[in-house]
Amino acid sequence: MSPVNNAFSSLLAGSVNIPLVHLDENRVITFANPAFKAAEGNDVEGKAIHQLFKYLDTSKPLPETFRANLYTNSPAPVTHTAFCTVDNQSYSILFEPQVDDSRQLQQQVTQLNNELSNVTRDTQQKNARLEKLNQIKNELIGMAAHDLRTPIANIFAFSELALLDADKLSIELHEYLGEIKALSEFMLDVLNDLLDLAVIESGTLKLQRAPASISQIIHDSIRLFSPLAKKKNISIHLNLGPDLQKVNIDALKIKQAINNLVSNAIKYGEDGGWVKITTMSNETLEVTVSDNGPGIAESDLTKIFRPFYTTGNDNRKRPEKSAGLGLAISKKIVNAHGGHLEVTSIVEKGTTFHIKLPI
Amino acid sequence: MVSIPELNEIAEDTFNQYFDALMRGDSYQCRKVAIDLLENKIPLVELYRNLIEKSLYKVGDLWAANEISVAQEHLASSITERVLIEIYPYVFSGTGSSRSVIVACVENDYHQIGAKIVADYFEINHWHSYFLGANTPHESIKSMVKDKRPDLLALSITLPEHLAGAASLVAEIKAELPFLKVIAGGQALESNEAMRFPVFASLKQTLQSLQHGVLGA
Repeated sequence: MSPVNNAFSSLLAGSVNIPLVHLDENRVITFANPAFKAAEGNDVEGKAIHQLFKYLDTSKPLPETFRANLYTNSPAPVTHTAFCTVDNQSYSILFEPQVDDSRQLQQQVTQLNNELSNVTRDTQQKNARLEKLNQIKNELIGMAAHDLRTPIANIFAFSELALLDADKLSIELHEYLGEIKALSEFMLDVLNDLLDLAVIESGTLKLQRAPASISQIIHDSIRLFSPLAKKKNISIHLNLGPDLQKVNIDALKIKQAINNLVSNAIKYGEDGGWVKITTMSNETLEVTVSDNGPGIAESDLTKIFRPFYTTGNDNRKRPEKSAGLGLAISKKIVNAHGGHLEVTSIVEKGTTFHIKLPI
Repeated sequence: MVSIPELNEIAEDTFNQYFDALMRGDSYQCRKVAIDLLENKIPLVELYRNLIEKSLYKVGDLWAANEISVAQEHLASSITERVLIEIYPYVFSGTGSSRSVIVACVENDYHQIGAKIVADYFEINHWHSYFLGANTPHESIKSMVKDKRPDLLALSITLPEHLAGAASLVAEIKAELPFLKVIAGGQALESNEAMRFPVFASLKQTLQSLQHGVLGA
């Protein structure tokens, strides 16, 4: 026995708590200490090492075999170290114990967990980027709307002033000015809606809640839109439920939401039609705005609350222009109050919007 | 004498609280400690260095000393991954950056947490990081590099047996994109085996200079 093996054997004789093994030139175990036997069995002596560790590549010289298997490709680290001597050289080897089904499953679960956490990281990274882009978009819209509002308000005011002297204008010029006034008014409405949307989406909307009368808000709304309804010969019916108490809301914002619904019902309603506004108070306060207008196609119902969405519904024979922001704003206002805005509609029969607010 | 931690430093008690939870597999408590620290304005880098990294090194030491089982070590890794998910809303600012890095573990290397933490460091320093995860096939790394054209490629190599493959990968990428900066890190670079591949010495040096310079150590 060589000096190395002598030293090795004396080491083996000691009470060392790490697995130790000695192989002969045929890779047969000639000696295994108690720690190795505890891990791999008492009958290991006389067996070739690759019988115990089937992944060992026997086609390579032993040092390379061990080098290649010093570490495994498995996601789970090897579980114990063994020292062995072969050809008077000592090697430390990290042995993987025999892998059973549960261990394999555990490794697969670990891998899947890692992949899941990577996907989550990726998603969070993209979300942060999208949120940032959305914030930039809102700031841009806010700035543009704010800067455009003053000149357009001036165009509107000057066209209105010019129309006061209608006698001095040719019919053609009168018509042009009327068009300028109508279009600038529409643009002002759109800009105001854009500003509202930018404020809501940027998360800077602060509700000024105070006890308010919903019936007062509805009466105000009817008063505001009565001239338009009269023009189209649309009748407005009001059915206020009993026990209407004051509710803790931002009255201006809720008025804006209700105004949008009433305005839409009249604008898109047929001449000679009707609009009904009812309230119901139970666990929630419900305000419904119904009309017997052209209705909304089922395919559009889920999309009408998206900003800038306008229906391509031919049933709506509407000369009115719309930027498609009113419903989006209304929904966000109601949601900000912890409520819901829902819609039901039947084409050619009519539409009902339901505002549900917590009491 | 009891040492009083500086403001913005993680107190020893807090670390111990976290580490004890990690050892007993209490994922909820670990996440709570991490989030509480961030809510108390502990800087992200401090959290990564002196909570996440420090606890992982301690787990590694205990495993090496045979004081904890492989299962416990795996559990600690899984909980750490979960903690990282929880703190991502603080990591990702969404701010666009002109600089980007691809971080990947080389083929057959399944030890991803270290690389992920490196990717997060870049994010914290306002780089855009593409983290490709564990065991990324070398072909995928090459095509990702060609597709994204990052400023930097960072490779993580845990095991010495993967050094040769990583060195070939770097040579292939450098042949096509000679100006791409590549860095490498991981336990394998600490091994004697790494000396067989001179390329890693310079890659490691680049990593260190980045840590002290661009990344702001």
